[in-house]
Amino acid sequence: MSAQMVEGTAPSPETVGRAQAAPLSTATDVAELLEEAQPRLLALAYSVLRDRGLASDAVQDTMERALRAWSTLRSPASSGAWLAKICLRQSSRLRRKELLRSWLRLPRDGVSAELLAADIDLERAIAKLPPRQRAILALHYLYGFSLDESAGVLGVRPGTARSHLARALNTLRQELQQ
Amino acid sequence: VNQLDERLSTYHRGLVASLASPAAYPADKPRRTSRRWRFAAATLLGVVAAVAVPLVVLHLVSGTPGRASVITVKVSGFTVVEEADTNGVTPRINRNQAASAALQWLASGEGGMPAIDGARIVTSSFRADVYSVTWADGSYSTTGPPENLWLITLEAPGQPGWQHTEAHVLVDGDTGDISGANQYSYNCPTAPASASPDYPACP
Repeated sequence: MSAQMVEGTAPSPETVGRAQAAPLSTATDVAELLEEAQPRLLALAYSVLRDRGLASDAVQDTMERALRAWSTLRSPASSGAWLAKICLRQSSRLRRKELLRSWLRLPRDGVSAELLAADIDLERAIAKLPPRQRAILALHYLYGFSLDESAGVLGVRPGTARSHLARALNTLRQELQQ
Repeated sequence: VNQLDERLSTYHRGLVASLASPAAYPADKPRRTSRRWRFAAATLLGVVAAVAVPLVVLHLVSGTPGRASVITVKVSGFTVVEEADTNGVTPRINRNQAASAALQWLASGEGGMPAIDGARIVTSSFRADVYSVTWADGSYSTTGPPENLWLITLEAPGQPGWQHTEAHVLVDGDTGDISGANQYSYNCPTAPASASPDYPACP
């Protein structure tokens, strides 16, 4: 997946997902596509939830729902955005369920910082962003979606998506300068 | 800006790679609870208490039925505390019977008061489920359990012994008994200290 990305820049939408351009006719094709989509979905869910276990649950739910609803997908070429949308919805649902429990738990002690030791400062700065801003960062920089496409996945207006991204970047710049 | 873009792209690619490799992740630590649990429990307890205590108190005082639905109204110079929702309650004793009972009480001289003849009804009003009645001069009558009452004001012309008489009588709307009464008989120019502005003016 990442082999097609251009290093250092957000990937273009055309490079997102090898199998998206071709029509999918067999269950094997669908299964392969879902399998291939999993790592990025996991990262997307993690961006919202900041918890690997919960992110795995969200991706699992996404897979189940995607398989059940695959026949309703009008264009297989848009399966990337479709899966991302389902994944974000499941992540938000899990996050709501976990909100009280996570508040009651002791704070996690830097697991994610160890995970991404390459850029701990950025990891810490991103962790401070609201989930919606983290989600749009992931859609833009991980999936390479444009702001309009990201807005469609998030179910918000393009202006709102632009505003979320601008705020996220501003916050990150400020955090990273400190 | 480009540098941040690059870092973000790299970061997210790294995120995908790291999450895809379970070995890169330490096993989840057992989730411990914290003092936040105690705080949450205490808050919950406080909320429950804040809701429950007033409900219990309201339930306990509901022996003097539903204070929340008690209202105060002004009726013909009386201040009446009564149940709010009494629509449709009608007295068994009609207005004439109540007036007659009030006139008889005034004429009887009951309780050591001067017996007064020839009085007339000035006002008469029926109120249901009445807890207490205060007259315009401040004298007070409490009825205990709520009663259906006729509130009657009487006035009598001058007669031997008394130039002016005014009386307020509460007649039980169910039985016709006298539930409470006040009588003021006096000679001008000395009106009683408790005389209300409604008193007939001395000539």
